[in-house]
Amino acid sequence: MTLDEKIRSTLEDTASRVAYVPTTSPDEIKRRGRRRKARRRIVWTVPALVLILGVLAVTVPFDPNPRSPATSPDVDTIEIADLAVAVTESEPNSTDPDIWLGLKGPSPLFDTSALGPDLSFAPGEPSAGDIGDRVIRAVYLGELDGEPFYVYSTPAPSIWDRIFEVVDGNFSGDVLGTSLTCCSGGDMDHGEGLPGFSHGYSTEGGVVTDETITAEWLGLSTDVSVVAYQLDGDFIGWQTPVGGVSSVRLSERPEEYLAIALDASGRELDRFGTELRPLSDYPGDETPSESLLPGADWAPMTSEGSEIEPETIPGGLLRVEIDPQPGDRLFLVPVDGGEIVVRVRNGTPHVFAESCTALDGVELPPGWESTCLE
Amino acid sequence: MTEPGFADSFERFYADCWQTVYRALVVGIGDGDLAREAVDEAMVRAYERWRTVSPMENREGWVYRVASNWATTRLRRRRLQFRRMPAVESTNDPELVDPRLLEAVRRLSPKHRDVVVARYLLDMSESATAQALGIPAGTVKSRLSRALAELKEVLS
Repeated sequence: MTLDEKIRSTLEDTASRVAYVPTTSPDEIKRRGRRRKARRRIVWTVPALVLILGVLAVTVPFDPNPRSPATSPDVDTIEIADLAVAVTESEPNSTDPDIWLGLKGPSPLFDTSALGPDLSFAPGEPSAGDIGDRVIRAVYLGELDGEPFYVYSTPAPSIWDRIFEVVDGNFSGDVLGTSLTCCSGGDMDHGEGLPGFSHGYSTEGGVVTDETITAEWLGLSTDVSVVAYQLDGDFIGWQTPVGGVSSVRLSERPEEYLAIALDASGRELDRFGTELRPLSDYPGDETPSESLLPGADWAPMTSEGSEIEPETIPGGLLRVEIDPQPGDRLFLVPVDGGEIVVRVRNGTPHVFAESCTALDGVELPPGWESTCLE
Repeated sequence: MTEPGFADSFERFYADCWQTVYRALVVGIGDGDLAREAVDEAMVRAYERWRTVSPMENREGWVYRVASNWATTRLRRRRLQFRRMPAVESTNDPELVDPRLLEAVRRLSPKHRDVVVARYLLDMSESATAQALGIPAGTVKSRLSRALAELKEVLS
């Protein structure tokens, strides 16, 4: 008996022994479905009411005095690595990975002009192609600076952890990430909870390139209408969170950083601030490790191979499957019985091979996805 | 108001498909209670969007995928909770035909396990599996190949 036949017969035999259980009545299933639809309609009316009130409201001045937080409305949330994120519907907007749409916070009813420009997310369309293959689930918040923005989770340990050496991450469960800061944002670069400030960069020949400086606040109440960002004493802008997540890209690294969460009427609900250490205080900042460079040291496998251009991918069918895009890095690696191609897209590796047998002989790091043709 | 035939077609599908998906899930995850909850959840979602699901060629595959994803998420949370709480006995774990093989199937990653269950138990073709799981056919081949290699290692 071949392995195929043994597996098939074992599974079939086992399934046939699963005791019959009376199904839930279809009426009960339909009743639950109708109830959810009705609940969703109620949820949709909340932002609609806020919008109407916004049109009718008289603007009130910004009140800097802290007050007690308001109660959150009953909204759908899903968990992204233990972070409850408010979403527009309980069902994913698209799947593989599951992507939900974040619920936008209420629009401010007060004058925000003292807080600087509106840095809110712009509407956009989520796409599975925006995020890596290892993402389990994600919430799309909109576009920020022309780029799609997601909060997502990946299984731990994540390839991102290796690339960016995030040693404070939660390695026992899913890793939380946001697409703007690229890696596990939950515990990264700060130890005071979910609000934070991060500074990422890579280097080429000792010169810092691709600096990404962000201020981020996750896990905000759905009552929060505005997160106002103050750097070195000046308000640099504000944002209406989506899914309880606020994230802004900063043009420079401040010495002091303050974020204030306000409800739609301008009452302060919460604040987060810190005095930042000078950049020079961070060990290794002047000479960043080579391992910070995506693709340089993320797997011992690639040191045996060589980086190639898309046109040198062996085999036309393999090239079609790999579908090289601008920004991809490709590595050709000799293995027993053939060769494989490792594609790194947005920092996420995917292994391709013409021969499934050759691919089977390769010990891939945990969680790496692979595709073979025959 | 629901048009005539809408509810009937869902009920027929429900009657035809529930036990099949349930059994596939019990084999894959080894927990009858969780499988039952997962199939119910997937069926509620199918009913909610029946206009979209109904014309699908592989509706059963869609329900299996939703149920499997839902069960996997619950299992992940439960594993975290198990650090503090005792494990819960399954109430409908079938008599094991080949305990080693079945245990090995259940130890596969959810993505690999779904491909094995879809191909061998739900008897889906490669393309139907790809369609049901929302992945390219090449990825089905790769996942199946890796899953079989893992199972072979266990059996040897």
